[in-house]
Amino acid sequence: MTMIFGIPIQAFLGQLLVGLINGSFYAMLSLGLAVIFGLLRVINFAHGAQYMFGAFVGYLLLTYLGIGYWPALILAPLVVGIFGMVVERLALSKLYSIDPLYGLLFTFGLAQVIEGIFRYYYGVSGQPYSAPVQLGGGVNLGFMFLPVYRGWVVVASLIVCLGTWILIEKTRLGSYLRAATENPTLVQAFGVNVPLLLTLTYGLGSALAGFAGILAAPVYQVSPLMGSDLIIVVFAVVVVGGMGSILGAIVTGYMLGLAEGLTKVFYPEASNLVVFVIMAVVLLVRPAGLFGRDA
Amino acid sequence: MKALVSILLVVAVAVLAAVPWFGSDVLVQFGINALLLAVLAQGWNIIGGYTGYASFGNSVFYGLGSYGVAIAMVQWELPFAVGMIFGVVLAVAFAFLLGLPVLRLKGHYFAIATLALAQVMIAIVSNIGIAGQNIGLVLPPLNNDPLFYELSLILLVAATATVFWLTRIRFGFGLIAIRENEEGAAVMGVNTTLYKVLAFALSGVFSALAGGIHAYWITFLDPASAFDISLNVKMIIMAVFGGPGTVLGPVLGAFVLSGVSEVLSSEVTSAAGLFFGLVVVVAVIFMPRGLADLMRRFRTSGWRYFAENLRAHRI
Repeated sequence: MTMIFGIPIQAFLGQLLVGLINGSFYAMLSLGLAVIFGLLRVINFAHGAQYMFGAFVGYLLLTYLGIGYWPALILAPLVVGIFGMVVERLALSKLYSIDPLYGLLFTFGLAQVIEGIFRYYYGVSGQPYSAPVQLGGGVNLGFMFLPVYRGWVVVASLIVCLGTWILIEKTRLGSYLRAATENPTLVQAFGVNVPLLLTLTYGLGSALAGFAGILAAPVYQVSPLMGSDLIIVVFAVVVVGGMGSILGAIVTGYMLGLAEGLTKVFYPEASNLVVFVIMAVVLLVRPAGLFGRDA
Repeated sequence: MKALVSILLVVAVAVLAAVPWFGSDVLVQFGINALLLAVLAQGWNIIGGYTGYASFGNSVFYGLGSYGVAIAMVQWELPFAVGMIFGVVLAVAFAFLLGLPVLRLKGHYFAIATLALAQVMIAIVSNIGIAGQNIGLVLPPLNNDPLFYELSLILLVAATATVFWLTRIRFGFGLIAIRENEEGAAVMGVNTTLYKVLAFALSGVFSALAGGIHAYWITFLDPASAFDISLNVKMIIMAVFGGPGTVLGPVLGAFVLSGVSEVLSSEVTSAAGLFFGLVVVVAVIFMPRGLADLMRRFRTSGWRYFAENLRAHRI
């Protein structure tokens, strides 16, 4: 058996792959959080609930309307995104001018409401959601067996992350968004509808969470608690990457996923701790985060 | 006016103290919970309300207090009081060790860093043998709810008195100065680092004591429930709902929200979290400055108060 660092290479690569898949979800979720925080200065506590909401939209579409995975991949982010925009318009937009703590408390309350609704109807047990036929089975890579769906998760998340990065850093709409963070009054004076931009931004961030949710549905079980289990790690990812930094969130998401996978190989006891240890070190050395500009 | 308030307070405390004699068992149990939550909200008020550092790490103090009592009583067979002291020592040590680096951060960073601390504590305590790892510890039972009730009430009175005292001494003014303008405070000669760490430790002391009482009362604790982050959010919501940076606001907020949450969970058990969330959402939007502000301004504005809040916070 081939060995690497005194460990069978299968185990090593297997854990690395698990890390990469977890990292894909960290990247997509922290990206959404970074987009929202970067422009709205709101720590979106409801992000985990929106991720869970996305997974449930997929599950409900399949169970009640017979709509399968591929349409759901578009519909779930759309539903969650529109839900996010309504919430922003009705409530969140009223909290920008007061202490940032209130945005956080509001989104926490919102998360409780969303989770409460799904817990009321579905309890805390998970609902199975199977991967589409096209992505079933697996391929033998010679050194390990790769389920096709897991490979698809990595590819899809890379595409979405890259797309969002291009949207914000390279397009005209993105430049308006970035300008609105720097100086909303001035951008408004140039005739750009800043409140609408903020609504769209929250919608985009929520839609990213929804997309991650439907993507995660076949990997993990669809359960009302799936979001709250993940969200704290994602917060740590955002801190390490630098709050509001788009690229930072993406890179750090994958990196910390891999770091977690590697720790599982070498020192399993610390695997759920390693992200926070890295976070603590980064906070002490560079409080603005690896990719952040200022604290 | 002042004399009237003091008399009312003394009467309120006396009535609360008498609850175990005329109230039902359920009421006493609800009372213990509400009083302990009020202590937590009041403790958070010191660092979050007065100093302006919205800590999400106060549940760590609570957890350390619980574990202090549990380890002392179960592993070392020491009396409860020694356990309480041990818990407080743990909390103060934590406040100094981690408070120093973490309190250098501001705003969002401080919130998230402290949030992650609680998560780290779960992982660490789950690996410590003396703390029962992730199985937890079972304490010797003591079926004396009235005792726990009176202890909680004494703790709440002590916490509130401390906060009241803070509002009239130099140290308290220093904290408020830090909240309003930290650089300014430093220029005026406030040792901001020392003040912040002391405020963090002080809020930790009360949280730890509350955790200790709760652990002995419930007689069981495990890492996930001891360092529960939603407990931390709860104490913030209660303090903010009542009015952060006021002496009685957090206590009032804790009582009102505990009552609401109790009624909800007895009426609609499975949807209690949902309605609690709704209460929070509505409260944050319509009365962001808390009950204390509502009571001050409702007299002049009437029902328009809510509409004014809505309009005031538009961009």
